[in-house]
Amino acid sequence: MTTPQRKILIVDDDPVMSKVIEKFLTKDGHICHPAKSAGEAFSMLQNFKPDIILSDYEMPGINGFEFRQQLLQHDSWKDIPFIFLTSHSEEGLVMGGLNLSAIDFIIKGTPYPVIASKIENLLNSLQYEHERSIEELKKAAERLPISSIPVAEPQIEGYAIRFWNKSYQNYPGGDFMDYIRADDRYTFILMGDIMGKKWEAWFFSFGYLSYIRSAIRFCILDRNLSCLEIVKKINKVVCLDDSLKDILSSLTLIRLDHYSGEITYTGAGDFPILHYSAENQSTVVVGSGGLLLGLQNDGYFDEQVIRLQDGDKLLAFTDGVTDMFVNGHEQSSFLLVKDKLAETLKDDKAYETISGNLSENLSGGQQVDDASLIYIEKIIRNDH
Amino acid sequence: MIIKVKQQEKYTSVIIAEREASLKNAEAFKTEMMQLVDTGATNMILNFSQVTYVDSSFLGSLVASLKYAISKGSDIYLVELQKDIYDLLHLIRMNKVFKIFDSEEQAVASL
Repeated sequence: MTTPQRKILIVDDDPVMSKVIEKFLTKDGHICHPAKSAGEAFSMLQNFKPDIILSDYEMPGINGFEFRQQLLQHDSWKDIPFIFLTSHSEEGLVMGGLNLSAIDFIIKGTPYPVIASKIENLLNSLQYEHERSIEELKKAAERLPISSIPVAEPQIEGYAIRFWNKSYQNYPGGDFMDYIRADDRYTFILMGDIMGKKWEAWFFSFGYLSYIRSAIRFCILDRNLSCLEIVKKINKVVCLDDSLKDILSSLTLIRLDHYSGEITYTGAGDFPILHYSAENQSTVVVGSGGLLLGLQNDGYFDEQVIRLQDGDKLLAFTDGVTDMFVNGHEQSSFLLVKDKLAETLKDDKAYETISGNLSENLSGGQQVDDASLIYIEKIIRNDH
Repeated sequence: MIIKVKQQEKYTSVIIAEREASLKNAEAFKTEMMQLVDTGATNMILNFSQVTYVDSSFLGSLVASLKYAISKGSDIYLVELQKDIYDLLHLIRMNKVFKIFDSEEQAVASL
């Protein structure tokens, strides 16, 4: 197994010792940051987070044990793997170090190549454990009988509806999509994006999705099929829920009238949707005024109406889609992405082209966030 | 530290000292902002001039910081946003919750 390049903080007041260890570890491809004291190490920790800390025990000022104790009291630093490196070998001292959750205690008299290889082995074990934990979590997540993305797309005569999703780094992500068929005439289609990534966002996506599903179901039972009223209800409940206090989500809620092709749309902090008119062969941006769910009680929500004609297409997407067009670290521009997507919407096989292009961008490693897209097309009827 | 803080007479000047404001520094940013509010900072003018990229995790932390600040009687003003970031905030209607200004001077003048 190859260990990726690691940032190693070496805290030792002996510059010779520090330099020699640095030399061996640098040769193994790691980046070393030497600090002459615990105080200097704390200053350095303000600006970067090492993958592992090697610290001497006996140092002027704060000694290695006190340094370790202070790190353990700090949320951002307590979990950084820590190794004591010292000339002392008394059993009591070694046990004291290990009791402070140090992963090892290396005696300085050990030949340098052995020290370097021991550190390399520890880094490999940590890497292996990390990868194994992630795999186990992923497997557990896959086994859960719940999903934030529907397994099948809605089948509505006269329409082609497609859901496309790719989570960030293949972690289950914070984007969610779903649809609920209210009756023979109306279907609700929704998409949301929890602000965050990976496990935390994934976990909260279920909380949000449950609220949204329930709100829609309750409103259907009451025969209240207004997107605006549903989103207002969801926002009210989310604002009251302390467990979602710091968790925000966007939401795009669309109601499709199968008979007339009328779309009503309410958005909460979401990206505007694109409507391609087959008649005009042009795309317009349809924006909504609502704030992110959970931000405040009055979310400035509104409701937009779009009339889909035969051949019209509708595209809604999360910010991860625009981020996939980013080069380097520059901010993506919605307008740039909109222009590219609008051009593609003219294609007969627009969905296949767009999803193909997105997957191609992904293979270039450009994805920086969960990305989701909903495509709705009103199919041209043959009797026209 | 993600932020550099300078206490002025009427406000607290806060510079985001990162080019990329993303998942990797979002949590630390939120903690530092909340600590700043806890020290009694009231009008915090957050300068984005060094930031070229913001992701949704960071925006989440920014909003969480604002909610915390407001609950403590404080406020956050955003200044010197690069055009694409400014457009993004408007696109998702963040301009309705944050007071956004071109410069620190303009934000100060509004206090």
